[in-house]
Amino acid sequence: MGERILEMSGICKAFPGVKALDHVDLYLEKGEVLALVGENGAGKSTLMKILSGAYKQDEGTLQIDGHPVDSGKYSPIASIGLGVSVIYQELNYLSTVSIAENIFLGRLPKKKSGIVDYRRLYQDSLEIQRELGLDELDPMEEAGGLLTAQKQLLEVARAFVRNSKVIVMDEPTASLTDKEIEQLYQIVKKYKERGGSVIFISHKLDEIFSICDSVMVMRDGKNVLRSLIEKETKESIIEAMVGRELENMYPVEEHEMHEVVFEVKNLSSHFLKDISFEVHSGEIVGLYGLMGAGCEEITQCIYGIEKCESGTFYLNGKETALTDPHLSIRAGVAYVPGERKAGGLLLNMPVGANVTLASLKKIAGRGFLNLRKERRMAEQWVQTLDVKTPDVDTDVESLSGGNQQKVVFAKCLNVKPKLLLLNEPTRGVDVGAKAEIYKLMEEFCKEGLGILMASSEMPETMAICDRIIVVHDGRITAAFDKREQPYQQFEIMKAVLGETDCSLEEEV
Amino acid sequence: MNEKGLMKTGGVAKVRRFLKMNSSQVSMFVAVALGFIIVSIASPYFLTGTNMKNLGMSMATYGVLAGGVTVSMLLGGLDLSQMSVMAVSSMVIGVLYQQGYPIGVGLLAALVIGILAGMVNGFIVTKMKIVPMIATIGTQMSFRAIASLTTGGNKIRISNELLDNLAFQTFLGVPVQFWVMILVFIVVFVMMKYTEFGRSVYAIGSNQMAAYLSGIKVNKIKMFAYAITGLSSGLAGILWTAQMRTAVPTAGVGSEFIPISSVIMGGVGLGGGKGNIVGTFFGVALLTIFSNAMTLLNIQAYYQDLLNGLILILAVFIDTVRRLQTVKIVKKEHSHAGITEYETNGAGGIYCKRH
Repeated sequence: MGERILEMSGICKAFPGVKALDHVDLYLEKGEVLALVGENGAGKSTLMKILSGAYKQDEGTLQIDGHPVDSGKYSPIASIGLGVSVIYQELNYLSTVSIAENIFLGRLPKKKSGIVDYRRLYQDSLEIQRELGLDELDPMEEAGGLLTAQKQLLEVARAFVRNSKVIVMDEPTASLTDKEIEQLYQIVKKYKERGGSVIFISHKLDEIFSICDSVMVMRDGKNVLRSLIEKETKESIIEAMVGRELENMYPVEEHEMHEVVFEVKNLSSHFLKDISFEVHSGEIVGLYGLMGAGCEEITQCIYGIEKCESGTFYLNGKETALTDPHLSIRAGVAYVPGERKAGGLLLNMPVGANVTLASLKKIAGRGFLNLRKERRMAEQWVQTLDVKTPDVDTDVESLSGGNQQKVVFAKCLNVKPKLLLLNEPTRGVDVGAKAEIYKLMEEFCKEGLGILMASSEMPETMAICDRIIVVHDGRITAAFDKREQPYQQFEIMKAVLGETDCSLEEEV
Repeated sequence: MNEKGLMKTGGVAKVRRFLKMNSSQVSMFVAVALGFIIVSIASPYFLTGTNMKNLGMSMATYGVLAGGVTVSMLLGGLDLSQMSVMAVSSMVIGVLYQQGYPIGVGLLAALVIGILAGMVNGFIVTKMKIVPMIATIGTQMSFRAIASLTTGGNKIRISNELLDNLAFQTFLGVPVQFWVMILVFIVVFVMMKYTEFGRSVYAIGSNQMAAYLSGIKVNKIKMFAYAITGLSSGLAGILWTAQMRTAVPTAGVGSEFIPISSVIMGGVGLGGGKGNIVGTFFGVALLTIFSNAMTLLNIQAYYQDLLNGLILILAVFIDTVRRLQTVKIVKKEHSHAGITEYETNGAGGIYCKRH
């Protein structure tokens, strides 16, 4: 060790309204396995995308193997040439093409005539497969039929073929069995011995301690910790992840809680296990977890768009079947999807048509629409929610993100729901509109609405939720009530990561 | 004075707004007017009374078909089986006439057959989840075969007063058939603009996922829309049979795409959700004038097919250009909101990835 294979310094990257990376430094030595840790939105993926050439940094420099990289000419293809391979969670492979061709993608051995030399290809492929413990597979087999773990190794094999010096693995063990994980560890070790370096993004602390040499923690677009793994403990890493000063961003009054408006009992699906909780009228409940932990799935199961294996729902104490959106809406449940452009809005249609979309019955008599009533209704919502639009005939696609989201809210609130399900309600919304949306949630809560919000942003969840239900790997691992005890970031993060065997000696 | 000035600018703004919101309809209107002028200069026979009547009659059948298919195209669907359904309806009229039933029974049966055929298309699209283009090419061939099977491929001559009146009478100097078409356009216009069903069709065409999540019964609406398109094919079958005074199993062969070309030209995109029936009207008018002109100018039938093919490609190309413009706008906005990448997940849905 000692020689730096990769050095990123002073990296800054801003997206409109968000500073994603703020002077981040990252270095990696030859033969080092570095754990990159941080909660959702801490900036890990942005940093890795800059490393892979998918994004360009606004400021900062990149050095690979001692040579500075010209950011103007850097691209995903250039990064591969310079020896950087990134293995994303969404694996990249050609499913109808053979294993060997997948491994040697872009580097197929050719005969003099320019025709692919298949005999050599299969030989070379077998050789590399042997190295990775994939030698029981026929190199001529199609890659689509492989197990996830094997597909992942296929990408590692590709990185080997390309003589990569740095491999980035984004949560590589998320969907692997223990045995497969062990196999991956062996391969990482082997790669290390050959002098390769690895950046290992993971949320599993045990794993980090067993395979990584060092750890870097990011929080809110900054690097807050970089040290050797021996010097750290699980506690110190969690603390670094959450150690932010919580300014009171959105001052929130105590909500007056009323009767239980919604209850779910023993909800299970192919992913969720035994979820039970209740939402009171006049209360905001947050579902918080890492991306993919199951928060969004819970709201989808409730709304009836995701299949449940078991579970009962009660609205106002009465058992209610919620198996399709139109039934859910009729029962008084409204849903704001996480992707407003994909699932929330009719982009090329006017504000008015969007507002009444979920409640057409309200403006229809015998199937005929009362367009004047629709206009009045829409104008009223535009006023109540302060949507910035020239008029209600304007197409939604010309509004800003925050105002589009308000239109989605108007659509949902126009059905006069008892329970409002929200997914990432402030995603892609600028700071000003964020605050307005929170205020709006508050106001409707006061009028007796129950809100269930799935979010992957900790500050927002802590600021506006009366209760937080933490979800990890499809299960509820903890629940916190602000009214009983103020939230403690450390405890929440512990539950989010599914760690139960560590504790802080003194309160932070 | 002041007030007057304000009203004036208000009026100008209104006109400007109207032009902007209806740009594709307005440009189609201009195209139709231009076509009309050019052809009347090119051929002395164009502006004659007889030719105008012919024009009105040949526009009627295509117009009814295009008006009907506008409904399913607005929700993002397509129906290529219309001409075959029309032929089946025509044969049903013929067969029932031959067996001595009153003509009314045949006409009613033609409409019912149209609805049923539309529902078959709807079933294949919604329940079997086959893309509309393939589904309706399949039914196009099957229905055509059924039409031929009714008589083993033979024609049936029909002489009936009611049908003749329908074909050759005029009302206020305009062929009755043309009035039928106008009626169809009015019904579709009202249905699309002023009913819950019409709004749902637009919603599905604009964003099916959002419509579904907002509680719209997507499959039911689709089924109904295809049934309406089928009904229009049945009605077109009646008009066609009346004009020809014959039931022919090969009715409409070779012009399957004309209604669709005219709908696309009129501004209803292949994706659905935008445009309206007014555009379709001008689209049909333009294509009818065009084909009438080719006949008047003695252009060989083969060239006519060639031009029809080119028109279809041109129509879809115009639609593609329109759509690319929208995508550009949306993309710009996405990058503005900090979201640029669209990825498809395994389930076929789309989700955005955040930076």
